[in-house]
Parts: sequence; C-alpha cells; structure tokens
Amino acid sequence: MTETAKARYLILGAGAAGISAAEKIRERRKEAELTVVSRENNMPISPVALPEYIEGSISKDELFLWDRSYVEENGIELMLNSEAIRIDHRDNSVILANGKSLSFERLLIATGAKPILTPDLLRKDRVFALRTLEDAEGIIRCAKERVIIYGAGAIAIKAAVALRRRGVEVIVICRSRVLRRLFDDDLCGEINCQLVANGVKIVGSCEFNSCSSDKKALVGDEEVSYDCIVAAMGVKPSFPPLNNGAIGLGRTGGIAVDDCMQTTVPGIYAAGDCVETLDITTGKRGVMALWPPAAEEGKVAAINMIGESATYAGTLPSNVIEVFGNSFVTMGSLTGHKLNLPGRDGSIRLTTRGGKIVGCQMVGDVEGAGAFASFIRNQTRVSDLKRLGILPYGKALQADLLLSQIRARKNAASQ
Amino acid sequence: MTAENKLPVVHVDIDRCIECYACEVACKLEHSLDTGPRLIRVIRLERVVNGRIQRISAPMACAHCSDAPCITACPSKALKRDSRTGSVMVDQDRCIGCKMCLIACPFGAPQFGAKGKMVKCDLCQRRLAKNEKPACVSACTAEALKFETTERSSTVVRGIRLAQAWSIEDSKRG
Repeated sequence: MTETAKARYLILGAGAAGISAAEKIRERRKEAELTVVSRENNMPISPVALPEYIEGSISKDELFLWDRSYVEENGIELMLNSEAIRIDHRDNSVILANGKSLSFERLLIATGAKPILTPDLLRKDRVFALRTLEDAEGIIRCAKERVIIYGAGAIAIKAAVALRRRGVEVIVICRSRVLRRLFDDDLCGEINCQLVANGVKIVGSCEFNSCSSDKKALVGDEEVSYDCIVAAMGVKPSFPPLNNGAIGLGRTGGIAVDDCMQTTVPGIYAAGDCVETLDITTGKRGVMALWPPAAEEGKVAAINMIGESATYAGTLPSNVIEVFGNSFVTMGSLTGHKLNLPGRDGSIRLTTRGGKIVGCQMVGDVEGAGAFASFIRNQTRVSDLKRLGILPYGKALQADLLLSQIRARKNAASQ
Repeated sequence: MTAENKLPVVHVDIDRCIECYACEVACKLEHSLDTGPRLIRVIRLERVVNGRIQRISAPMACAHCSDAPCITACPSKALKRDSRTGSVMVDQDRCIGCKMCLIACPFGAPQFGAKGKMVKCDLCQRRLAKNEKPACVSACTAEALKFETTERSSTVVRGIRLAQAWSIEDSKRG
C-alpha cells in the first residue's frame, strides 16, 4: 500500500519554471493545494547566481529564492530531497523515489536539465557541474590552486571568471573555441584575449577524454594536476520516465509542449529546461537552458493550469557575459548577413536574414539591448531603420520609439 | 480599482519638452548618482520629414509596467512589485548584476552604476513619503512631465501611446 496525499496542483522541480509557476498559482488561487517537489536538499536557489557565490561577492543566504517563512505563509508544501520516478497519467498520480504517491489534478513537469558528463569524468572524484548549491560548495571547498574547466559555453566562462577572481589558476579546455555558439569568431577572439589577459589559460581544439589518473588530467600533451574539475559541457533535459511515451517528446529530446505549455496529455504541463520551445529567430524547436524564458514558461503554464488562458510566444535565446568588467550581449541567431553599427561606447552587430533583424551582438555599451531584443521579437526590417535615418546614429532607444510608431500606424491602417 | 491597477506615474507631454535636461539633473541630485546611471533620460531624435530635418525630444524613465518583463527575467528576485504602491522596485542587496533585466526591458530603464548593481527609477519614494512630487516632475521647467494617477499600462500599451505621441502625421507639430 502506498500512502496517498491529495494535491490539487503538483509541481515537479523548484528551478526557474517551478517556482515562478508556484508563485503565479498562489497569487491567483489563494486556497488551492499546492505541492512542489524538489530533487535538491536545500531551499530553491538561483543557479545564475552561483558564479557570484563562488567569487565571494554574495553570501550563501542571498542565493535562496524562497525561505521557510515564505513557504509557510503561502501554504506551499515543499518536499525537498524527493524525486519523482513515475508519472501515471491514467489515475493522475506521481510516484516518488521514497514510495510515496502524490495525486494531482494539474501537473507541471519542471525538472530542468542535467549536466552532460563523459564516462571518463563520471568515474572520477572532485568533478562538479555548476547547477546546484552542492556543486558550488564542492568547488569552493576543493579549489585551492588549480581548477580545470571542461567546456567553453556561458557557464564555463562565468565559472572561469569567478574562479580567477578567487585567485585560483584556471585552465579552460574546449573542443574549438570559447563561446562558439554565442558570438562571431572575432568577438570570441576578443573575449578570449580578455580572459587570457586576466590569467585564464585556454586550451582549444582539445578533446575531453583526457583523464590519466585521479589527480592528473591531460591538457594537450601535458599532464597537469588539479584540485577539481568543473564540467560545463552543456546540459540535457531531465525528467521522470514519461509513462512509456504517453507524454510525447520533441525531436531534440525535450518534452513536447503546445503554446500553452501543455504536453500531449491534457492536464499535464511542462516548462523550463526540460521542454522544447520555439526559437523565434530560427523557427525551430529546441531546448533552451536559460533562466528568463524558463520563468516565463512557468508563468504561462501556471495561468493555463488554473483554467485561465495565456500563450508563450517563443524564446529569444539571449545571454549576457561579463568578462572582467566588460559586458558582452548576444541575442538570437548568428547566421545571416552582418551589419555593424557604431555604439556609444562599444559596438553593435546585427544579424539580418531576408532584410529582417534576427540577431544582435553587443560589446561594451549594452544599454540598448532591450530595444534590439524587441526589434528581433517584432521581426523588424533593416529598411525600416534605414528609411527613418536611424542607422547612421545607431541609437537603439531612438529606433525603438520609431518602430513602435510604425507598428501602431500599421495596426491603425489595418483596423 | 485596486492598487494593482492604479499607480501615479510620470507622464510625458512630448510637445512641451524643450530639451533642457533639468529632469536628468534633478534626478541625479535626488538619488546622489555618479556619472554612469541615468534614471530618466532625455532621448533626442532626428529625422527627415519632407526634406527637412526635424528634431524632437522626450524624457524617458521606467514605465512601472503592469506586465513588467524585468521582474520575470530577474534570476535573483531583486526586482519586485511593491504591494503597497504597485511600483516596480529593485532590491540592490539581492541584485547580482547579471543584466538579464537589460535584455528584458524594451525602454532601457535598467541602469548599472560603478558597483555593477541595477538601479532604476523608484518614483522618488523618499519625496512621495513627504507628499512631494518626484524630483523630475518638480524640476520640469516646461511642464512636460506630470505626475498623475491613471490606469497602469502594459509595455505594449505604453509602446503604442509613445508611438502615437511621436507620430509624424501629428498636426500639432506640423
């Protein structure tokens, strides 16, 4: 016999999507029963802030997004250190690893993603990803002299900067070059230079199969000792077994959802790093492991779960990387025609396809980033900017004002 | 109407702005800001209308949007809606300086000072407590800025309103 506890709204996962959904449900449905199941053994934290925690610029207390009193005041049943191992969509229940069964009327799967580890790294001690509080504390505990970082994506670079600021020697091992998917070659080069200038060692064109003994790793042709390894080679969606495929998957391995964040089974929703959403700049569906879209998806799912309606417009992949005091912003796609604009104190590069702005990279002065994000979202044409004489000035905010004007006039004309 | 929907905000009458920057100065003084962040910014625009260069300007500050995208985007819960006043407030102690809000805000309201923490228009809470108007409104020499209670608008609505105000066909500007 399993113990059964009735829960009206059940949320699996306490990351960006899980907590924003829980907050939204609580905001709109004060009386509803609300249960949040978390794999981790601590109150929900923000993984985005972990590099700052490693660096020492924020304290552990500041990582937490909820505290005991918040959870109690809002009547949220938070089950820590619990993992769902089965979802039964026929009798609307979820079985936890400890044997407990939770029933639900509406379920949200927001179990996030897990780091990708090579078999080689799985066998070794002192290998950490950078997604949980446990990871960050492990890194802080071990990192004394030298840390090896595998991978060169956003998380890897943020970890490298944070560890360097702690005064630790950092070696970044990457397959090709830093931030390859986020920036153009020359901007990657610029970031690379700034990392090197601040003492980060970068080894490119290197495979990850390089662990010879427990204390040493192969870097190029050389064996190097290390205190710990940070594995930042990317993430893959993570979710409990989906009842023999009753809940459908997308092509890239994330859970398939519709615009309302509902899975193929009515009443079961999914949001965050475990789902596939539409990339508005490519029109393709994919898994986006980013905080702001996950939080937005959670909100949309929550609104639909309580019976009201909202739709998710799609994700604009974007990121901000701070490299020793310099800001680099990337939004949308990198493939297409490139157009350089003078920035006030830095540079702006637009990616255009078929005359439409589909991507933007900014260095230095990134104040207008939001305006360019709205250009991309609104499928603005470069000719609109040109016609209005904006391009020579390159002032994003001015452009935004004019564009909203164009849109409003178009709307007025069509009505 | 609940506090949720009604909030006095700074309204701009673009036709009255004379580009004197008094609002920017008053705001800097009120908030003791250093050189970087500008919580209200006079935006200047130049464009060609019928072969003539036309120049117009408008002060822009945080819109305290009802659907504030910055609050959703913030990964450290530094941005919150004040339950009493309904304005969007930043808790600098919680801000980690990740600049996610910068990408989310279409109006360029989030500003970053030397400490790398986000700072934005707080509607001059200190002055409001003393029943005074925000510094920019008090300082506006041309009465282009007004502090009024209206229905709070979403980013979309605000965008369209701005657009209407900027419209080239606007007969008032000729």
